[in-house]
Amino acid sequence: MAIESDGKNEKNIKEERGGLNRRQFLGVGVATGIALAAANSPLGNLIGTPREVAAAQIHDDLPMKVTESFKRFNSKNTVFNRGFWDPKIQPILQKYAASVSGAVPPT
Amino acid sequence: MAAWSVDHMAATNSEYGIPSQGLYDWNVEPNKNKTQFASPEEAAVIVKKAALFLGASLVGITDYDERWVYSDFYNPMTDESIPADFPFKPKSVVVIAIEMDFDAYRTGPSMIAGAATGLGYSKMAETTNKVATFIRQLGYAAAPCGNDTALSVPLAIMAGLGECGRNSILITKEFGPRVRLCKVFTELQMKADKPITFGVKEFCRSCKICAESCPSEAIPMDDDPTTEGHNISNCNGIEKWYTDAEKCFQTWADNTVDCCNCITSCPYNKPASWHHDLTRNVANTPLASVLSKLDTAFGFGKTYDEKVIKNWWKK
Repeated sequence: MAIESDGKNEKNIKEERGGLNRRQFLGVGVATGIALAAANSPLGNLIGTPREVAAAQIHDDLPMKVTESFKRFNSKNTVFNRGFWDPKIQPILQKYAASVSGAVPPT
Repeated sequence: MAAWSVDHMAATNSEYGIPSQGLYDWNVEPNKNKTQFASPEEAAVIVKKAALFLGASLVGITDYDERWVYSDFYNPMTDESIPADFPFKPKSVVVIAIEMDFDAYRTGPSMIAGAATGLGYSKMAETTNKVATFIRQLGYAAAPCGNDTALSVPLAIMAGLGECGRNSILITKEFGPRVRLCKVFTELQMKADKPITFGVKEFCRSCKICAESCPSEAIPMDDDPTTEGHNISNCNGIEKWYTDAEKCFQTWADNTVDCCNCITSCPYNKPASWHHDLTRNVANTPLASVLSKLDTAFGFGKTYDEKVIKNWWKK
């Protein structure tokens, strides 16, 4: 399994957003509890198509269908690179490049 | 510009897909004394631990698979393509996700969110350079890469970092889509991680918040994914929801700023906390559509919020 860091950038949502009061927080908890209970009971089948309830499934290959028409991607065709050679995209790249500037604090 | 400085000054043009630029340099000789590992498992543990220490937010390993490597390496500065090739035979790929700042992305689309993206690019160059240096010190050739060389999303999926979402980018369990991806190809054989799914496809099928938030309508509203994209900037033949890069880029140019609505608005984009972690697991249930509505009801995923932008500078 892939492993993760401690996440230095992660903060307490309640403090940071300032928009989630106690009632809303409790509401999330209640809804989550109901969802968990429903998903693990016959009610889950009544509400929608049954799905794998486990948090994660493990696969041996890409868990997406790859058709015979798949071809390796040519980096010449990224939309940024097309801005250098494709007449359709060139004006977009020129307009974008001219607009980029630094950010300043609001006054 | 400050956030982009490392990328611009020390990894110039890598974002255009040109390999081996600056910090992404491939032509560095490895240590002549090869470290012998007891097993590929041991090598994987050591390299992943080092990657996290050196700046990765998430790391996984996948076997080298030519399908995801670009067919040609194109240099837009010279309008020349060269055949995709490595100076060594790659065996494994270390795939790294770099978290982008949650509060900065809440301001998007804005210059602040764009700076968080730039910071991600700078960290990509710095971190992959360090990881490649570590592997070379172990005695094995390594090629650090940003957006260049290969498709990052399928590599990250293969390395067990997440799933592909409706917005066509990687959705991680830990940070949702709020990550940048980079990778290091190496001749060191390591035990590969396995792809995982945790209900993203099923959740995205009913959610559609990213598509509704997209100002260019570049993200499809269709219930089911497809195998055909919109234009030559899509890599056809993989079943997923394809975004229209032409429409997306036009909006960037019109709005004079990078757009990140598909990341900011995604219900998987949450900071770590016990209730969000629990909800992520509940998202893999028949009640996914209810959860996405709750997300909106509680005020998450808002975009174009001037108050958030002003408050960002004060905190």
